[in-house]
Amino acid sequence: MRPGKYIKDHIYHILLWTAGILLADGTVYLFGGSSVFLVFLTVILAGACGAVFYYDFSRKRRFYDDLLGKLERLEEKYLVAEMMKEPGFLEGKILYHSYVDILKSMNDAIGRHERVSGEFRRYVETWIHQVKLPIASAKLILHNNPGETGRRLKEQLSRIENDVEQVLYYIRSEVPQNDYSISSCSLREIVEDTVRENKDSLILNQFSVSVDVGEQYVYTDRKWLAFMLGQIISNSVKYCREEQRKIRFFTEEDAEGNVILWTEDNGWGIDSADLPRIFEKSFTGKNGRRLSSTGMGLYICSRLCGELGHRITARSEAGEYTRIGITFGTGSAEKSGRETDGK
Amino acid sequence: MSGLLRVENLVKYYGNRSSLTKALNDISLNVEEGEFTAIMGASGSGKTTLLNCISTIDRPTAGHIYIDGVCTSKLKRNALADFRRDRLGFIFQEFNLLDTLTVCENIAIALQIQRCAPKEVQGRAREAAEKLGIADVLDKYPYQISGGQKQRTAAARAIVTHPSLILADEPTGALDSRNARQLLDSLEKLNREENAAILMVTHDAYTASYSSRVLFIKDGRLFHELRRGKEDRKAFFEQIMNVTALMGGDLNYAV
Amino acid sequence: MLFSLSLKNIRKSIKDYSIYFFTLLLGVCIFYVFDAIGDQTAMMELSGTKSRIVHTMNTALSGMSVVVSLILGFLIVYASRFLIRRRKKELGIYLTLGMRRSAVIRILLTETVLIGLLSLGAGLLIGIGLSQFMSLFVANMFEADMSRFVFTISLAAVGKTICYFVIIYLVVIVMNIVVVARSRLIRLLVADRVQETIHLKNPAVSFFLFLAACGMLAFAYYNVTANQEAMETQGDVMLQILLGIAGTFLIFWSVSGFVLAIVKKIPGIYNRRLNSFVLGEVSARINTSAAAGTIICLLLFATICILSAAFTLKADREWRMENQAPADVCMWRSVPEGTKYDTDESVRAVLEEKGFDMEALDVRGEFVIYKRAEATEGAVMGSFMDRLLEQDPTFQAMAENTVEIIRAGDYNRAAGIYGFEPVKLGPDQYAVSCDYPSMQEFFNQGLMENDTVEICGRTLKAAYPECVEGYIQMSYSESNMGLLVVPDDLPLTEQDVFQSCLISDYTPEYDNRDFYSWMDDGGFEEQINAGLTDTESGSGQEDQGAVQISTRSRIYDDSIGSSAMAVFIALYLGFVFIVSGAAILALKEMSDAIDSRGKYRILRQLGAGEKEVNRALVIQMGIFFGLPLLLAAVHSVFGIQVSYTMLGIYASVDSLPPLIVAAVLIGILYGGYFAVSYLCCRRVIRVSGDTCGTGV
Repeated sequence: MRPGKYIKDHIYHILLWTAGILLADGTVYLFGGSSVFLVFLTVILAGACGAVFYYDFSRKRRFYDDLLGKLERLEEKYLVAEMMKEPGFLEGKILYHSYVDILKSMNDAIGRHERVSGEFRRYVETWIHQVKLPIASAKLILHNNPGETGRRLKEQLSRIENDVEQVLYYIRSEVPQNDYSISSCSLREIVEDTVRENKDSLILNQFSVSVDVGEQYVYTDRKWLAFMLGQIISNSVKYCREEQRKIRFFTEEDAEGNVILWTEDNGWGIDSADLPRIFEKSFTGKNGRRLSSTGMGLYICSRLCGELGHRITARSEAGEYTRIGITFGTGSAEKSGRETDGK
Repeated sequence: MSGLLRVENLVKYYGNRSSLTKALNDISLNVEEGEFTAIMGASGSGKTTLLNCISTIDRPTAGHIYIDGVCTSKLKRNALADFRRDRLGFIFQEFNLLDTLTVCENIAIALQIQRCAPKEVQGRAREAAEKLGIADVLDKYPYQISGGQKQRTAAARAIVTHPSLILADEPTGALDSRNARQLLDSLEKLNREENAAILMVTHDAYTASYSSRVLFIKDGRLFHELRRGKEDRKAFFEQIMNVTALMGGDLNYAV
Repeated sequence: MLFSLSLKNIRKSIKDYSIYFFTLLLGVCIFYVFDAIGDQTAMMELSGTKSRIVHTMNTALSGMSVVVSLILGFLIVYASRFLIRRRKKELGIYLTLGMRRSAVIRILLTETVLIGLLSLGAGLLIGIGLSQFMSLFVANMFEADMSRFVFTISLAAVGKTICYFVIIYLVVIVMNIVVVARSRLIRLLVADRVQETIHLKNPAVSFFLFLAACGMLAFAYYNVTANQEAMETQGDVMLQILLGIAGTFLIFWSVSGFVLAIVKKIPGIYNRRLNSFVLGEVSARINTSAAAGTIICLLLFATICILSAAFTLKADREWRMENQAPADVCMWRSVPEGTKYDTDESVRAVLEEKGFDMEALDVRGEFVIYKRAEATEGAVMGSFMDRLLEQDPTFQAMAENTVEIIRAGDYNRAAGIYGFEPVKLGPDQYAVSCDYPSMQEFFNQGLMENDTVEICGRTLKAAYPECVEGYIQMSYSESNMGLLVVPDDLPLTEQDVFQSCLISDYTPEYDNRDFYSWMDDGGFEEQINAGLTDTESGSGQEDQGAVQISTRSRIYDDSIGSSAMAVFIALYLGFVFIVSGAAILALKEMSDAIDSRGKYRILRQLGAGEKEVNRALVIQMGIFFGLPLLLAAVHSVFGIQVSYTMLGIYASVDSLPPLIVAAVLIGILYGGYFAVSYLCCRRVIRVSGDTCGTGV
């Protein structure tokens, strides 16, 4: 609370008091009082008045400056009441007690919501783990039944499994749980593992896959990266051209020396109008409308990359190719032309 | 609305000039009439904060506390003081006796604050003292009696007003083992004969073993509960020690 | 580094220091204000008498300043002891951290010096401001001309203040150093733990001591009032004073013991609310502070006596003045030796001869006073005088002294002018007029035994069994040593004339200060009595026929001056005493409150509400503040009577209003201190409390 502001706020008080003092002086003067008397009188009155204002100002200033400072520094401003002490003056007391009541009800509400969403999340996670069992069993059963039908069923089951996993990762990305573990991983291993996991789908859809990844090690979470690559592959499979479908994995180094892992396919490509928006939540775009899609896959990938500190980018020519790149390590935030990135 | 004490989703943040700490993280518990419950945790686990919130000395950041069906967070200052006076009894670690009053007067003052009729005060104080076995030192001053006797005076003062719930914060913390045993025996007797509900906070497994139910608290959360059931105290003590060991050693130190 | 530590300490503990600081400030302020009066009054234009009195007053005040500075010094030292106690633990921590004692001492020194400088500066500033008000007050008291008022700063007073207080601070510093240098570390660290042992007093012993104390006090009271005549030597008086002090101390020592025991037996009171706690606290603390209580009680007693005596004195003087100076001027002239009286020897004639402007006078009465050889005091008192002479031959001079004689007609005229009872004499009757107290006694005894007197061959009988009150010559105090009022037809002749008198008022043009001044300050003397001032025969002016005058203006000035001075000095001393006493109490209470924080927290945890706790605090503090006051008031009942006797104030004036004024002043000051202490203590015990509950 600046002195200037305080004075401005109390300007009427000050003016009234000044008027009163002047009036008193005038009266004394008219009654023939000596100038010395006037001086005394003015000094006493002005002094008393000033002292009153000063006292009021200082005790209020302390409290309010403290409050504002704390508010500024606090991230969770709804907890500020825990850091305050009840002040001595009336308005401050009223304010303090109001804060306490308001913030308590606020915190109760927050707690309620956190509990509800937490319980729901826990339920979903449990459910996912439950539902994965029958899917795995079904896949196993089909494994022993080769044949066209078996393979197609297995592919469908894989898709179910993917979607289920997507839910899990969606939850994890929305509510940061910090349960990823970063370690140095071989890019090639991860790519190859992912390809292997999705081989049913790739073979069935007659994709030729080439992995041009050297012995590159990056710091990342193995499982999450595998999930992301799986999502990208599943997108490529969904939006593929008629013939000679290809997927290629290769690496690149960017200007700062960070490793970029590109996944390129020769599918439908992405319309230039849609390209900037593919990482948005629930964005379906032209492609998504031709084939029904939740629009969540790339969104989740971009969130996960954000958590891990990677950058995910996309380049595409409609009808020609689509390339999705994951940059490991922090890169600079640049956008160019038909390139867009989801952080 | 059953239950003597009901704590629902208690959250407590502590702040001072520069920082904020989450002391209690979504704690819920129930205590029934006549139950002897212990809350066990290391220093810094939040157990004293929990007791402070339950005893209305501190107010929670979020959550509700119901004692005898009354939501204490809704009470204003005067009503709160009255509530505390009438329904709760306290035993603290440092005895907290008034040094200018005798033992009898120390016990009596709890009654006086409750506006008990002056004629009855002496009699009831004497009665409480006898229950705790300190009737022989009624006319002595605190500096003249031992730590154990002081603590039993505090206990007598806690029960003399017939509270619904007795809250004890590390009651044996400042006592040697013999006095501790005496005090705990007295508390157990009180719980048994007077059906007094006691909620005790401690870091000591031996002390906790005198209760019939132990709640373990760590980092502001209740993570385990043990009930004595039909076991004797020694077996219960072992169970408690097992839980402690599981948590990586002496619960005296925050793991 | 140490300096910044000192600064931080001061800023941090500004609340603790504030009481100490305030006490210092007050001390410096009071000291400067009263010391600067000398310079302030120099600015005032006062008449000769008044300026003489002012000068006397200034001298007296300077003298007192030594006493006052001692008291203030004691107060400051006391305050700093409290502060040190508060900080012992902190100092101990410094030592455990490895700081050398010398460094700790240096920190303490710096802090003390800083606070000292700050308080000295601030106190002087405020003092200079207040002294302007003080000079207003003084000017008002002495009725000086206000238009000559000027703001003054008395450099001499500043210097003296600085000097005295530097000495006091040095004492404080030395004391602090001693405390730190000599204390063992462990003592410092546990200094904040309140001692737990209670000193109990055996109720029976207490009761006995209390009775003994009451007895001592009663004995002393009796001796100084009803039994005054027996007090002959200074030693006797000292004994009473010592008894008083000892009695007071014993009362403080013993009262808690047996009062507590008695109240404990009344459950209705003792076991109600927090009363047991309050009584426990009070008795525990009174026991340890009997000495402080005694000192405060005595300070208060001194204040009450001084203040009420001063105010009564003032009222008395003012009353006197009204009664003693009803006319503007009274002149008289004794017939010079060897001269026969005739109208040329009257006052009027001499005045005219010397060129005194008779226009100035509005004469109200002129007459003569006679003396006859046979009318001696011995003759008037008769056998009573004979007995006196037997007892003490030195009365011979008095016995042979001739009494002044005045005719009834003249006397009654004077009575008309002055406003006292005229006499009614039948044929051959006489009356004795006297207003000087001890002579009145003699004459009264004389009249009882002998009611006739022989003058001019006639025997006259007393018309009244006692002296009547009256006077001819106006004077500052009663001075009529005996006047025989005789019937107008007594054949007194010009031979018998002893003195010529003239009573007059001033005419309006001459009724102003300048004329008064001329009359009183030497103008009259020069004009009329020049040449009569030096005498070779060794006899006084009177015998030379000088005209003596007694003017109302002089009487007025005298009385105003002396009563003003009395009031002034009384206020000074009283103020200092009461401020010191109350400050000591306030400091003690604050310190105790800080120590007792824990207890009040316990009470709150047990469920005592805010109001209850505050009530307990008020009662406790009320007892601590009130007991010394009560005892002081009881002492004062007797002490005031003593002071009246000493000052010569008799039941001539209504003494109630001054008492009330004194009581109100004391009430305001003492009560003010009590209120401020209570508020501070309440804040202290509340801050430590908990944040219980929601809502205001």
